[in-house]
Amino acid sequence: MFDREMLPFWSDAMDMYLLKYDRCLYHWFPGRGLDKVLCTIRGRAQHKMHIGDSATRFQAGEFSGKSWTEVEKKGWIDKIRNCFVDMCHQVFPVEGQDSPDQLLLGLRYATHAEVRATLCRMHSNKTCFACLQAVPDHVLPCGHALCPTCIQEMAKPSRFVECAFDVPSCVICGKHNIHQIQLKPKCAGVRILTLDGGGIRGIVELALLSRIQQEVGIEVNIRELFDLVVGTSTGTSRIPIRAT
Amino acid sequence: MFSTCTLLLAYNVVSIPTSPVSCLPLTLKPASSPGLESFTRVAEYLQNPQIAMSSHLLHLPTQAAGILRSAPLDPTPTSRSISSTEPEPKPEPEEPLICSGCGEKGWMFRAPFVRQCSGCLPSNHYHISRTRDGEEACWPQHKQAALPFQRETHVQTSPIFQFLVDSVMSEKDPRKFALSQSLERFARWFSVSRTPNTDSPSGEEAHLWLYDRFTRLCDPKKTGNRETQNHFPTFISFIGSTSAGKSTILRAILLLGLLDSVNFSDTAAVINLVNEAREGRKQMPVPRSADTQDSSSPTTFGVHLYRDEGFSMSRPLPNRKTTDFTQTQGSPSPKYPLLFADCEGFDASVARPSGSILPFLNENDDAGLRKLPITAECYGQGGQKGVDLFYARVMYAISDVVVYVTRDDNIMNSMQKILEWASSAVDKSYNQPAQKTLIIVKNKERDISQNGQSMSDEEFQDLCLHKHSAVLWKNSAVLRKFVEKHNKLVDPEERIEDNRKLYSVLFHRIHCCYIPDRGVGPLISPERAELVYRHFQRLRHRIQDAAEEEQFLRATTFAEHNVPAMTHILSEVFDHFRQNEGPLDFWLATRGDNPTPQNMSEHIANFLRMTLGQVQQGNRNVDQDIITAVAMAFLVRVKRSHNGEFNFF
Repeated sequence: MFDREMLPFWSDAMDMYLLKYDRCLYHWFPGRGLDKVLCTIRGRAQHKMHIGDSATRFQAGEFSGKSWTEVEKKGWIDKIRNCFVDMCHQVFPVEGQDSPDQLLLGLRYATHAEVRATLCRMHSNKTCFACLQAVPDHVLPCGHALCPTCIQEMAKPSRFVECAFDVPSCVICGKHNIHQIQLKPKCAGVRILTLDGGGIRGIVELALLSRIQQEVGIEVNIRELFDLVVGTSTGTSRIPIRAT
Repeated sequence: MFSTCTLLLAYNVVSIPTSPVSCLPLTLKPASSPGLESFTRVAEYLQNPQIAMSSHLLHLPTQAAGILRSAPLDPTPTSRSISSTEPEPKPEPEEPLICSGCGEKGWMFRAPFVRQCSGCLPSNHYHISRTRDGEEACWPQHKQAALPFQRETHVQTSPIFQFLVDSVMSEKDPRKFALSQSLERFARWFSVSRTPNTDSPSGEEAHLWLYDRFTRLCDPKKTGNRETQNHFPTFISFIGSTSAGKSTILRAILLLGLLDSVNFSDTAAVINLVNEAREGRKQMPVPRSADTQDSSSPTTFGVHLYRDEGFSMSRPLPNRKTTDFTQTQGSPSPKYPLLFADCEGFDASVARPSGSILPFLNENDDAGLRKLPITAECYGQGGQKGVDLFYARVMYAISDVVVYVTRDDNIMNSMQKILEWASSAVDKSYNQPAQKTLIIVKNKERDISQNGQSMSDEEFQDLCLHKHSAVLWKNSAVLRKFVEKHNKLVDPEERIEDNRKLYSVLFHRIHCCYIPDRGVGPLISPERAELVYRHFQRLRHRIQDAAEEEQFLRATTFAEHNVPAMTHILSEVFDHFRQNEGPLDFWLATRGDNPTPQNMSEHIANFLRMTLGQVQQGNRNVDQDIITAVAMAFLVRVKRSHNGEFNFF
């Protein structure tokens, strides 16, 4: 399974990293009394010579960085494959043991604790470090962000609020910050409330919103029913009124 | 509607002197409606080829012409209005040509057809080739009259090349010329405006006028990234001195792209298409008027942007991972659009005539216009040189292919100018994935023959690049400074010692070609026009190949930019050069420091970028953490994708 389904992901990622992101570590001194110049080129594919902070500050030379020979690349693949197989053996159901979902959840927590020293220093709003598969939408107080699927899989569903999940501590850095994340209901589309201005006539909208909340009748603040609330003029002042 | 279209096409082809106003199906607005609305509608229609086929659009240019005629020089929008009551001027009837054999009247594009004879050139003798009934007329008699050994040289010349070249070079019809000028404003992309300011040390201040032209061309529906995520535009810039012929050549290139959609042997279709373009239904640079007094005035101010409508970039690149190439086969490619930037000539504002069209156009009523102050001193307070520098650096930063047009017979001067242009910009943008391709076009080349034969592009390239006896920076202070600075900073083997090395530092590749002079007076001939046409065609192929090569280089280095990314890059480029005299880091401009991954491979690559980029190399713990985190991510993916069948073995 690994070679068939997972290896292409890793190979593509490795190629992309080396060609696009890997940074040249070369530096030189352009002259007596001048500061050290670092090569700013990222990506081996783009490296034709060492270029400093200006295109006129360059030197000839090959990319200088960590070597990634075919043997080393294969070594990495073997290590990932072995690690993957070990994890599969831990999660594979054996009679009398917990279900695979629970085992996987436990393994995820354990693995994240293991790599915490590396992950806790990094923050990204583009990659969910818990799964490396999606863009994270929800930022925790510690600054780490998680994608909705990871929240559903790893956080505890709230007993009081529908579609909400309680995150007692950050999965990535382990900091204890009780945080509740409200996800959009599965059947919901994108919900936007817009409020017009109009001075004193804005009271009509307030009455309408109040009535809608009464008619819904499930003790839910009306702000919970929308993903985005925008308003103009007086409409902007009504957002906090109804939202509190 | 069908009859209306038919009538109008007939009008285009055979020039029936019927007023198109009589068949206007559109209810015109009252005189108080701002004329700007109609212009905007014209522009919107032009963006949408489906709508463009409707009968409404077929007549819109006529209305726009009415607007132009009725508009006073007062530039306020409300003063321009549509006047439906004003009669349309009848187009001037085409002058008949007289057959030198039988003396009968005939025309080039309608029966009875007349043709020039290649054996009688350059004398303007015409012969009736076919009558209205399609029968051969006096042409066979003319051929029989020639001496037997000369008969093979007496061949009917095709008038279509003459027609195409004439359409590109200048516009004789004042109505179409005015229309082209009025619609050209919608092609504006950006320009630098200088206004007097007594508080400024230089006595003036500069503003960048930025239009939403790129968005209108590449994402007209403003979908953000929904429909344009897989569209990768390529920029091709036309630069050169004022009146070098940039706009004319670009017009020819765009026209050739349009002709991809019709069968060239179908003369009527070709003429219809060209007439449509001349009427403003296809956006291209404004041609010169037939007025010879106007031959040295600039036609373009600021930078205009046009989108190619040809079959360019229709071939899938070999390493592209995209599998959906169905859109690109046999149709103008939306995936790899070519965008042509027509840049104001060097020192254009110095050459700007007092009676130019600018005062007529009111910039304030453009909805998509942003006026941003240029605070960087070298551009904002440098006068015309500052403006030229700003254009050079922006165009160099964003272009994949640079087309330099020159009419200067002194090739060394031309080479110096373009290299100065590039050297002033090359150190102002770095971390770029690929260098630029330069195409040097010598316009109106007269000495095409050295030994009676036409010069090939290879011979011309050799003449331009390698026949200089002296190094090019010898007489140029700018180049000399650049070379000295460069040589101080590089290894001895990388120093610029000869012209070849200088070229390679500034450009990835250089091509040279020329457009022959069409000739004047009795030298104008159909054969000459065909030669000019062939050179235009060759130039277009050259540009397409260069653009494709640049796209290929980008694809191999993961540096392709789709429309949303390009929108961001353009915004960064304009903001940087507007405010900063320093170099632009393309790594940051392209969000290389915070990319947006689209799939798991890209997420892992981003993860590697962050982990390996921030830690000391060879840290075994980090390597092991990466392995563990990636293996866990794979396990989670397996679980998610095999939901319910969580069995690995």
